[in-house]
Amino acid sequence: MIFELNEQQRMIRDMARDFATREIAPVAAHHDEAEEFPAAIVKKMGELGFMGMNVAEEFGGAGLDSLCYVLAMEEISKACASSCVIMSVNNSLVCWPLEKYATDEQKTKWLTPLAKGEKLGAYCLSEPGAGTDAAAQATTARQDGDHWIINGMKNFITNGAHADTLIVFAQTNPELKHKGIRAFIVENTAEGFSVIRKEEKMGIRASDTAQLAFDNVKVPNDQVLGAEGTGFKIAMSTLDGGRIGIASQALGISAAAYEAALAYSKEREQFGRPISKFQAIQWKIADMATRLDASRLLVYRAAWAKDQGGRYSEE
Amino acid sequence: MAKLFASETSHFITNEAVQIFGGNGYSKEYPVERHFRDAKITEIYEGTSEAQRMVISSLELKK
Amino acid sequence: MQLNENQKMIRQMARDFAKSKIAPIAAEIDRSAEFPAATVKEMGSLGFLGLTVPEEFGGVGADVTSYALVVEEISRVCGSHGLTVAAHNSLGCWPIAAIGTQEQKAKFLPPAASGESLLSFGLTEAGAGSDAGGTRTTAVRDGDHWVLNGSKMWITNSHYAGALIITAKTDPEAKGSRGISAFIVPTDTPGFTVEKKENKLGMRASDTAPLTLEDVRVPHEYLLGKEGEGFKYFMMTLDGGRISIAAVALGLAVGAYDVAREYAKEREQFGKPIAQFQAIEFMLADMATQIAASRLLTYEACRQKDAGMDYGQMAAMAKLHASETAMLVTDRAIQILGGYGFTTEYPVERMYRDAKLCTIGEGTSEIQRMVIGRHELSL
Ligand SMILES: Cc1cc2nc3c(=O)[nH]c(=O)nc-3n(C[C@H](O)[C@H](O)[C@H](O)COP(=O)(O)OP(=O)(O)OC[C@H]3O[C@@H](n4cnc5c(N)ncnc54)[C@H](O)[C@@H]3O)c2cc1C
Ligand SMILES: Cc1cc2nc3c(=O)[nH]c(=O)nc-3n(C[C@H](O)[C@H](O)[C@H](O)COP(=O)(O)OP(=O)(O)OC[C@H]3O[C@@H](n4cnc5c(N)ncnc54)[C@H](O)[C@@H]3O)c2cc1C
Ligand SMILES: Cc1cc2nc3c(=O)[nH]c(=O)nc-3n(C[C@H](O)[C@H](O)[C@H](O)COP(=O)(O)OP(=O)(O)OC[C@H]3O[C@@H](n4cnc5c(N)ncnc54)[C@H](O)[C@@H]3O)c2cc1C
Repeated sequence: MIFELNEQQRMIRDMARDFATREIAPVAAHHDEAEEFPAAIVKKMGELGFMGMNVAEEFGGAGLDSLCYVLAMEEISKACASSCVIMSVNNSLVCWPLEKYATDEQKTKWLTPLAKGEKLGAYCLSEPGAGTDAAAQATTARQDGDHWIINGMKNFITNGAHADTLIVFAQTNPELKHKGIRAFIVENTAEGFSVIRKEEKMGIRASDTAQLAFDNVKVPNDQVLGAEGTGFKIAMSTLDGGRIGIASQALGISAAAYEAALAYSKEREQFGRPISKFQAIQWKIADMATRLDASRLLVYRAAWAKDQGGRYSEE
Repeated sequence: MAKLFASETSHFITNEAVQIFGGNGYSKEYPVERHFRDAKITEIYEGTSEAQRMVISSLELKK
Repeated sequence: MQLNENQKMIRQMARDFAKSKIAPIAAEIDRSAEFPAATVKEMGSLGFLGLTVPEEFGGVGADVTSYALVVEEISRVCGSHGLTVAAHNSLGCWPIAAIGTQEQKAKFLPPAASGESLLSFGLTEAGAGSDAGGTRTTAVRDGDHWVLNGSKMWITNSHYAGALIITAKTDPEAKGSRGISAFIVPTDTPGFTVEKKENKLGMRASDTAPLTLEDVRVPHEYLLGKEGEGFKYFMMTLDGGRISIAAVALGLAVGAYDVAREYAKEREQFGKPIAQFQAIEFMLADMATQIAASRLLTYEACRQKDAGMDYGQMAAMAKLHASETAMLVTDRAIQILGGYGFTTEYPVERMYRDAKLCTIGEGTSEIQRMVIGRHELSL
């Protein structure tokens, strides 16, 4: 494992840091309090190439490695974890499976606008009854001539109320259990698709989390993603990469809180001295710094392992 | 491993950060209360911490 | 640990009221950060606002255990209501009942006990938090009056208070925490202003605000206890207050635990209730164990206080353990509820935010460890 960032990685990190500090941090508290989707920020992230960072340039992406992605996510998350998860879902959960499993025609049509940030994506796996047990899909898809018909409900979908393009998992043959699951590319304009409600949440309040209904939604045959029986595999392999995204988000939140606390402990005086002079605070700083560093190393290692092309589920 | 450790760490760090800020940590005037609220989701979505432990232990036990 | 009939009766009354009147509004007042004036008034009629106030001054004259039981039951459904009751009783009523003159008690306690108006405690300042002895607010004698100047921060119930206990430096020469005195300041005194309330992480329906005192003149009769003894008084007050914060924390933990346990029994994944996975079962076991320890420590502190013993260390232990436990339990409750726990549809995320106050207010966890450590080391 290489511990030093290369020129490009440093450049991306600095660019993300600069953007996050100047444009995201000042409005993050407002978006949080108002539960307002940061549309302007998402648009700019698209312009900077942050919405399809690992996607090949021929499909509108930035063609960067996973570590660049992690570095950018960390910086965005430091300023605003909501903006970070919007970006994470688009990159890891939508662009990635499209690039990996879609046909070239599908890529040109669906992936390119997503990677460029012209469109926004969502990943629809969870259901009221299928959380950790994601294979327990109750949403169904049945083929009818040149299209499929999807029926069901999806729960807790990030970007659900704003996405143009949704990857939807559905059961095509309950007898086959998880092997009967398939993935579909669905447009938010499809008839029968609707946003039922948005969750009110404790955190990441500027990112919308929606409950979605699919009521006889017709999806043309050429919007099926991947071969028969591969839907669950697509879902799980996608989440492997998604976890690196969430790990980067967590890392960014940690770094922001740590840096704020470190600075405050040196400024705040009680009993005639900065509180950083008390061992109780010094110990906290030491434990926070140690775990922050360990997180960073684990997250960078996972990104590095992914770029090596081997299995990285465990990392 | 990265997701499990980084998310549980973000919980630990944001909680300590609010604590270091004392009363100010409890106020929306400072950013740490938002970090504290945001951190919790990372232990839940895209596989809860328990789901990560299932993945890690099953891979370890196969070795 | 056996509760007597009276204690059981009071607990049942609080439980019923909490369930029927407070639980239904708890989520909404958290969202709107609105002080629940109507239910607080009702709590006054039930005696919850004068629990430890002697009957001759309009209170219930209950023991500390009964009081803690009431705070626990209320906090099980709403931390903000719990904190309102706790701060009013322990920080507002208690010092006047314990230290005040007969006249002060007769004037200030009856309206407080009935819930006509609340009493608050103004100790903390921007520069004096954990180091409460570092107070900068001053009081200068002017004939038979005192003139107070300064500002306070984080004062609970202050917009709804009829009077506050304010600590101020009366001897500018005295070093450190010496030379501080306590005054009862009616809120309608000219020069006294309650500023805009704080926008907080949790306990959002509890009223918290900064205060400004500009040439506030109070008669000498409103000096609480002896001149220069203020530090001692507020340390005594906080000892008792810590029991009430322990009770708030205990209630929040129990409330979150109940929700999590029921959810774990009902929620199915992989074809069975999640409670059947050891990961969840063991979490519930740890939560229940920590709650039991919090409860025993809290009730023991109550017992010691009721018995007239030196209960300061036990109160600090109860507060430290119960508040750290509340953080652990409310967090685990969110975890057990998964994505649902992160939404406002269930109360556990609110309880988690509320619980964080308990490790900060009335002495941070670090301050409790200092109190406990000093007792242990006889410093
Ligand atoms: C803000 C937010 C955004 C989200 N975004 C998306 C999205 O974009 N797309 C999407 O598809 N989903 C999304 N989700 C859903 C998320 O991935 C699920 O919430 C998560 O997978 C957990 O499922 P659940 O909430 O149903 O919890 P459950 O699966 O019901 O879990 C409840 C508890 O049981 C535990 N548990 C379950 N099974 C076991 C077991 N076998 N052994 C031990 N413990 C177990 C869990 O760890 C948890 O503690 C989002 C959720 C939230 C809250
Ligand atoms: C198996 C073994 C092998 C060893 N091998 C070697 C060796 O090869 N060469 C050698 O030189 N030494 C060796 N040592 C000694 C070892 O380095 C010391 O034991 C160690 O430095 C601690 O010193 P102490 O035992 O005097 O404890 P003390 O320094 O007395 O510490 C007692 C406790 O107080 C704490 N403490 C001390 N100061 C502070 C402070 N300022 N703030 C907060 N807490 C504090 C400590 O953390 C500890 O918990 C060995 C020890 C053992 C047990
Ligand atoms: C919702 C709310 C309600 C409140 N209600 C009231 C009220 O009604 N009346 C009132 O008077 N006050 C009230 N307070 C104030 C509360 O008591 C203080 O916030 C608390 O005492 C901590 O003080 P601080 O915020 O200034 O933190 P600081 O004292 O600045 O503490 C910052 C950090 O430093 C640590 N620290 C400080 N000194 C030491 C030391 N010597 N050793 C080790 N660590 C140390 C602390 O533990 C903390 O982690 C309230 C606060 C809140 C948030």
